Amino acid sequence: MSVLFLPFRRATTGAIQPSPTWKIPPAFLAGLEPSSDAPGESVCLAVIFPTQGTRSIANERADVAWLVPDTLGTVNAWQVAQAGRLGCAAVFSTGSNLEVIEGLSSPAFQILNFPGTWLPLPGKIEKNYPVGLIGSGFSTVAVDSTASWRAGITEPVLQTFPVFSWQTSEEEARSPEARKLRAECKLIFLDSPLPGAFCPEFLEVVLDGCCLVTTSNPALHKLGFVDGENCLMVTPGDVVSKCAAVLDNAELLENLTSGAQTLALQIVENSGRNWLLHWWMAHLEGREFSPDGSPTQPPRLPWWKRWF
Amino acid sequence: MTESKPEPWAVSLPRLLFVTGSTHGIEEYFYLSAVHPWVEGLGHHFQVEVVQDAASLEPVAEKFAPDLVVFFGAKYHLLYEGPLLNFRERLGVPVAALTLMDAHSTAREGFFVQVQQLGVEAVFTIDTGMREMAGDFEPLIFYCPWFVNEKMSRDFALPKTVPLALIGDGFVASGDDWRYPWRREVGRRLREKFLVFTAPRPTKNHSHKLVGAEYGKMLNRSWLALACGASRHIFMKKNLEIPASRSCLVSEPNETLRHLGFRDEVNCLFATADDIEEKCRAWLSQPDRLLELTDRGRTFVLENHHARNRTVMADWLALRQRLSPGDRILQTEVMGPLKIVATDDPTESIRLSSQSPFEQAMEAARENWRRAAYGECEQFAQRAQTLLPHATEPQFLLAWAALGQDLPEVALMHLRAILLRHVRRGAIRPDPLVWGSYILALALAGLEKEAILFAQSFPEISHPLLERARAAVLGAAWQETNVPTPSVLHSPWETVAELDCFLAPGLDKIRLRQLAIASS
Repeated sequence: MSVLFLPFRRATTGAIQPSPTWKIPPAFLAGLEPSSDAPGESVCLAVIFPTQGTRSIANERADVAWLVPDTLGTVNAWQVAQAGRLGCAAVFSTGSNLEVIEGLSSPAFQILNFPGTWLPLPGKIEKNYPVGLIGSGFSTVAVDSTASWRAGITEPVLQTFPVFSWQTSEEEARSPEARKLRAECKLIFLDSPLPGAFCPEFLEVVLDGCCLVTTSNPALHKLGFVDGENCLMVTPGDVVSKCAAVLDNAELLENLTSGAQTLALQIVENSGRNWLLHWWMAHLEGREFSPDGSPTQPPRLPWWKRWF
Repeated sequence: MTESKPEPWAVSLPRLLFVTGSTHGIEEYFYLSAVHPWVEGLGHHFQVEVVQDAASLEPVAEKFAPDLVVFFGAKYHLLYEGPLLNFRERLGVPVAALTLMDAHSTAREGFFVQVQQLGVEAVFTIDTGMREMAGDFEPLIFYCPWFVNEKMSRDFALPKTVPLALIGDGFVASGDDWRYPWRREVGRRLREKFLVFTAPRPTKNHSHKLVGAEYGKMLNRSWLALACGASRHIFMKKNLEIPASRSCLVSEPNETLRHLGFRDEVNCLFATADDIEEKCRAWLSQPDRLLELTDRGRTFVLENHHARNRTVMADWLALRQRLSPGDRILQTEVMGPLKIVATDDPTESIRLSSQSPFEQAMEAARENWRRAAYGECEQFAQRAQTLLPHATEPQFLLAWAALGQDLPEVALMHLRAILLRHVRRGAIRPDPLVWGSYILALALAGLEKEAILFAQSFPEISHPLLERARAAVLGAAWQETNVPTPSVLHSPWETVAELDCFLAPGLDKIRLRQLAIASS
């Protein structure tokens, strides 16, 4: 199946548990329930899967499209084209490339969350390694250290701290084995494959109890990640001092880690909350939909920061 | 303050007074891994009485009546801080030293002068390349390598989760850092291809918790762990820590390891930079076979490299007590018994580092100097300098290459740097070979007043070169002393005739200048 059509109406009771194959965060469908009402009385969501099917959608229409991300967490041009053919007035997805993919003819709204169901790792994971460098690009060989953040921080980090490193493909870096290895590290270095964009591994790392060490990133700022409060945002010039301060201070590390876990859980449970309902209401009223008031807003600063 | 270790069952063991001095201020990881094990290990062969306070040395010695007194040295100097008296004469017993100092340390000069003044007859070193770097002090040297520290290195029965461990200095080296050529090359390659755990040596500015038992546990978690002998191919503690922690040692093949019983695919793995990836992959794909090899390695080091196997100090004492005038003690095997030979016997004690990158570079530099190929001498000396940045030897050769090219100012720059380093590391007098070189360079550079001043200084030290330099500068005013003072360095010339041949033009120049000054 390549496209699934789901009509919804305002919910009177209960909540929808979407099918895992749709990769839709439950919060997105909050306030709605399945409907058999006439098209004007319901909002029709077209769930568009990443692989092409044989079903013709020539005479079909939908109000909005949900683009199901693939195993790499991205959406593709075919899905975008289908949303256009269906006449969708908006496109939603957790796909990490939604905001940059070409061909969109209607507004697109990315939900910063996992592209599917997230499950915690079983059992207690011991933090056996201070630092983890897992993925491609953490290299000191024939690399221009000014070309990428990963290349720039690798040598100072390796020369200062005990490090668990695995130079592997980004695909393998998303494997369950890699996730378990990352979870055994106190500090995990990670940046998004798309500079400035969100990737779900940010959330996975902190939910597995690691301290996220990354570069300054608008998507993370939007989610509420703040350098020194729930993560570390470093450059090659300050990576050693910042990481040393955390590794030398168990309380600081615990604060960073637990603060990030709290924020990540909030994101996982609430990203995109009521968005479909709010979009539908705005659409009916002729207003522009804006995902205000969602957990994607930066959290309010503590009082002592607001004064300085 | 003293510690005593009464062992009533060991009344037949000789009595050792171990002068450790104060261990205050030593880095924690160094104390745990390097100092404390010796205090315990010597108990296998001696009844040990430890003295930390210099003032109580003689009173304790009078009470304890030792058969041997050993002064303990850490990285740079003896930890004993008392007066430098000849305790061999004062106490009437043999006196030795045990040092953990690197053979390339700039503290060597100060250390050997110190032990000489204390009346030391034997210097036991953990550095198995010390003989090549001890100059005239070589006859004092006996190798007593590291042994297994079971508190830190044992089978913690942890699951193997790390394929490769690259723990220690040199695996992430870059730029001009070639102190560990093999580690640098293999570390670079292996990080690109395998899941590895790396950890640098902890420093005062950036310490980490991977010391002591935590370090041992990380090795225990690792299937393979790498070590090498650095640019001088010396025996490292790591060569024992790895197998004792039930991890498989992977090392570059070298003469030192072979001499100490390590064998490829019998109790460890030898690999070059070219075959290491293939070898690691092959063995990691056969975990059962790898564990068998690992266990053989563990058994090997526990049976052959334990403190109870380090009998050299007790052996030396036993031979020393029956040594006749005209005889000397030799060490032809590090693990085997010592021998007594006649003083004029040409047999030498074993040298293990002669094929190392550093020694080969130095030998090539000296050979080129003797051929008057001073440019090539410089190149090899500079190569040696990148392999051991803090060693004196390469810079000393650079000074003599400069003298060969009639550049005394350049020579002075090198020699001043050497003298300053020696002073900073506690030398109480200059090395006679360096001092003579310095006076000569001053005279050749036309700095007569300085040359005279320095030539008159330290009259108690002597060396064939120093005497020639003094004679050239002071003329008839200088009376040569007869007793040569040992130097820690090797001269680039092999005979005095070779030296005289080299010096002749320079000495003529000095004389002509003096005549010109006198006639004006």
